Amino acid sequence: MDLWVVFLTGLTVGGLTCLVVQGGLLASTIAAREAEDFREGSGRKHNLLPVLAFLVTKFIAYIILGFLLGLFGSALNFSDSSRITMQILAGVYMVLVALNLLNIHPVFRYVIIQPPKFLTKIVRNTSKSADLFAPALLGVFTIFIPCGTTLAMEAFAISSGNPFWGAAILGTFVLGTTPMFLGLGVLTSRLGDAFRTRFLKIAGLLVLYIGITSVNQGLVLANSPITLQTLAENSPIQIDLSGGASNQNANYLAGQVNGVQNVDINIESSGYNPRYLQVKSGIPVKMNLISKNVYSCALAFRIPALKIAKNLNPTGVETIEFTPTKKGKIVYTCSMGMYSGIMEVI
Amino acid sequence: MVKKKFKITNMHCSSCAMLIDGDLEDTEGVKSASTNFAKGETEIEFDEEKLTDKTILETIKKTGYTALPQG
Repeated sequence: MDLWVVFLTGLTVGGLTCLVVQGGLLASTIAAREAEDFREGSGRKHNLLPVLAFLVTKFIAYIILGFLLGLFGSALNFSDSSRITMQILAGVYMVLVALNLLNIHPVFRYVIIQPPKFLTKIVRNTSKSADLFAPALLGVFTIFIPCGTTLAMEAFAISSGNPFWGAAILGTFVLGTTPMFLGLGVLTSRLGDAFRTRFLKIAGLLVLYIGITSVNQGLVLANSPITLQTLAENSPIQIDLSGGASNQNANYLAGQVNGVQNVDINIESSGYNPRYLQVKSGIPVKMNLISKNVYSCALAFRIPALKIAKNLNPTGVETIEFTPTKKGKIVYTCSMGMYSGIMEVI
Repeated sequence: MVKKKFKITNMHCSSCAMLIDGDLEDTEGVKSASTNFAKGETEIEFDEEKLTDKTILETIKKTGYTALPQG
């Protein structure tokens, strides 16, 4: 899971769309409170406490929202094909949001969902309130005024199909936006337009990356002939990082004992090892899936082309047997398409 | 009371629309403002005797956006 990209997106766009809008609202409620205090005869300045209250409630609200969206995603995730559809749709949506952020064409503005007016009125009225709890309330209400990037992250949380991942995605995103808010007192002066545009471009590129990988994961899972991996393989420009070792190297070929090909695949938290192997057509394959303290979705092992699905234990060995009959490349992957490898039948 | 539409060029998300509506509706003489991010325009109902187009354009400019009158 590309949580660091989510964090970076929060960090870049947090300086902008979120700060420009929510920061403004927050500043106005702080100002309202200070005006109230001033009337009561105390000239206290309180910037940090309301900002902290705002950030903490916002963080909690988004974690809950992420959990619910992930739960919603997992409800949609009743079969591998519905998961594939969800993954591709969410990815396409994120790409469209990215195209809006990158300002490619005004038509992409239509993908941004505009919150209904009664909700924005509530948010605005809260921001004018001098109430002690107004900043905290405002933090929760920010979920009603999502900017484009937030919407993309919400789609991502749904597509994770897991409430805990959903919570982690939105929590990380909001955490990424916090540094800018903490600097609110220093940064209240308006950011220049050029600066804003550049930041939005960075956020747009990051969202584009998440969107494209999400679509690609769906394609890998659907066993599509066209994925980023196959495109890279068939590209006329090949970057060879193996130091001259050929793919035909015998090391990749599964060993045979008593007419059975034995293959070991080590399941690691960050993927599968090896990621490339060869088996011979027409000879039974015994594939051992070995996991040791693995805590990632790499445990949900799938070979879509052979309709094989195994959910593994964090530590253990599972064996699957099959006989490849058709020459060509077969992809093995986790259920989300995040980790994958290729088994070539020769 | 008149209803007029203005183009707004540099909104970057739907929350900008909310800010513009807010500032306009706080302005004396404006009955309602409804800004649409996707269309990039705002429809304002206001009292012509209290406000001119110019004041409205300036209000939007103060919020941080560029507005142009529309036919």
